[in-house]
Amino acid sequence: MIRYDANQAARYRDRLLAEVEADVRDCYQCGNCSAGCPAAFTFDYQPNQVMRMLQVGLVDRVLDSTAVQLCVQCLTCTGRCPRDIDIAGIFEDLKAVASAQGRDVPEHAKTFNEAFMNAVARFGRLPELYMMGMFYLGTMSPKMAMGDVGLALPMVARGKMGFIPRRSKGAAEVGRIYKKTMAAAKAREKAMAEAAAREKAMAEAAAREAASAAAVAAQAAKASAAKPAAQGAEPAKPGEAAASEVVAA
Amino acid sequence: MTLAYYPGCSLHKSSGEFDVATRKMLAVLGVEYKEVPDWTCCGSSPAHMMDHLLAQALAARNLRQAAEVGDELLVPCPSCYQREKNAEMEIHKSDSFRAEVNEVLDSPYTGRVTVYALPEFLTKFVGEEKIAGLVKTDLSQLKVVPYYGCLLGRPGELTGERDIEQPMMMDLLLQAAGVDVKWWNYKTECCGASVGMPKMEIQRRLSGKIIEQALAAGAEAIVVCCPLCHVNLDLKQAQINNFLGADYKVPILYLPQVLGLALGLSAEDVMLNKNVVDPTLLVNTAIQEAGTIKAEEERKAAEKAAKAAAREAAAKEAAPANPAAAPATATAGGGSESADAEAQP
Repeated sequence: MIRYDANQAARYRDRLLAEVEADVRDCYQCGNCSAGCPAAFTFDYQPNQVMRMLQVGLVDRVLDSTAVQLCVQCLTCTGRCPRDIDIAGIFEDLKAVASAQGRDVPEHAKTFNEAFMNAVARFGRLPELYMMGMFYLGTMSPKMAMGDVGLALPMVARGKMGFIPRRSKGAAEVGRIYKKTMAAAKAREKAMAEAAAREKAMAEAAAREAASAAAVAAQAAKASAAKPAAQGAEPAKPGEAAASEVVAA
Repeated sequence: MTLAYYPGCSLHKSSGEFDVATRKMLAVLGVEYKEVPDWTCCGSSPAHMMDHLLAQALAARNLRQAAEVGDELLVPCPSCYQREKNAEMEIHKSDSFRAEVNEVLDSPYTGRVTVYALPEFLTKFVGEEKIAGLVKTDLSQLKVVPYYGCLLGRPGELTGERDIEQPMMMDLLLQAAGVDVKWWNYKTECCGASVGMPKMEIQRRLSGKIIEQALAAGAEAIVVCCPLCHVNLDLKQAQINNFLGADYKVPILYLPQVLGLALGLSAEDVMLNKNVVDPTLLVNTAIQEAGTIKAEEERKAAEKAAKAAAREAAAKEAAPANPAAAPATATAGGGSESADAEAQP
């Protein structure tokens, strides 16, 4: 059973308005993004489906989807959207959120991004061979590594591979930038999660209160129904109680 | 004001030929530049998929370094270009965001550096006419399609490209250099980018389609302007063949390699030996063919001139007898209406 979540939809919509200047409500499901997407054949959800899921608040499902991680960021969808929605920007932000929340995302995307950024943060400039090595170590998949071993030979033969990574002059600053921004992103995400948890707790408390109030009302109604009907006391009450029970459920 | 030049990590090592060819081509075109001092990685795709501020700050660090050289920054790698341009636009638009970025930098970026991609820079600051005027080697028999990829054109608000589906800058530059440019519809299709590493199937299929379409358009080589597109189409061509059961052997050339050759640089100058699918045979054949065609044309022209001279001499001899005979024999060969029209006052 899929439950739409208006609160979560609103929360993530506000974030996208601030971060990407894109409003998911603008999407009218024409499907142009999915039609032009070169990688959509590997996605679990098509780009227009992702847009719809964000509209109705299925943010968690989207964050765990392969679609978000396999997006190649070619920007075709953004370029072709008749409603001028920066769809690739939304996918980019979804990746960032998934990364900051430390989600175990599919398709080794996190492994790749982290191997890349850790290498850059250490050396300042990207040591390509080192990064690829760290990536394949991270994937724990010898099959994937073997698939690309064949590439090394032509690259080495043409002097395109640097074996020993060197630290460039700005490396220390790059490392500091990486550390500071990632710490800030994690803190921001934590604050958001806490706010969401608080909101949820408040909503649950409200629901509990409503439920107990409804139970009291139901009991009162039962009691009054048990009394002789001569008084004709409030026949609408059982109906109301039933309605509030549904809301609480 | 000197032009600042940002090579980036790919050009620094694995795509050294792109860097060398670009520098040599700029030298021939008389463009003076200076490398950005102590540049670092722009962050590329992984940075902006992890955190927005991280991506913008890494790019802003390079803008700050570039400002030491000048206010104009040439970034040949489209991935770096996109990151640097993105940071330039957001930082220059909002002072509060600039402050946010400067918070994480060691020393603040206070300048206003404008970032240019290579085709954009050549079009705006060198011009097709100047390139056409400097052509030394005839590449009219080199049949190519220009492949722009994703990041040189999209999104239009960032790159300033008017038609993101059919960009023309590379087409026009190559035409100005005398190359035979074929028309095709895969100019801006994606090659699979770095997702080729975690999910190779995407790269194999997308890059395979691009090569297939280039051949269908009548091209013998693809001209690219992106190190990652080059890796996907050139280095991984054997893997594409394996995956698709194909037998492609299409050379993938960098834009400055082709322009450099046309401007008189040698194959060694533009490092054709670094390309994995060997382009030397194709390039040499094209140059030779163009030479043969030119020699043939020259021979024909010389023959024609000799005949015309002979006729003129004959006419001169006959002239005293009949003055009207000379123009009549001259137009007899052509026999066209325009020649008749010219003869009439």
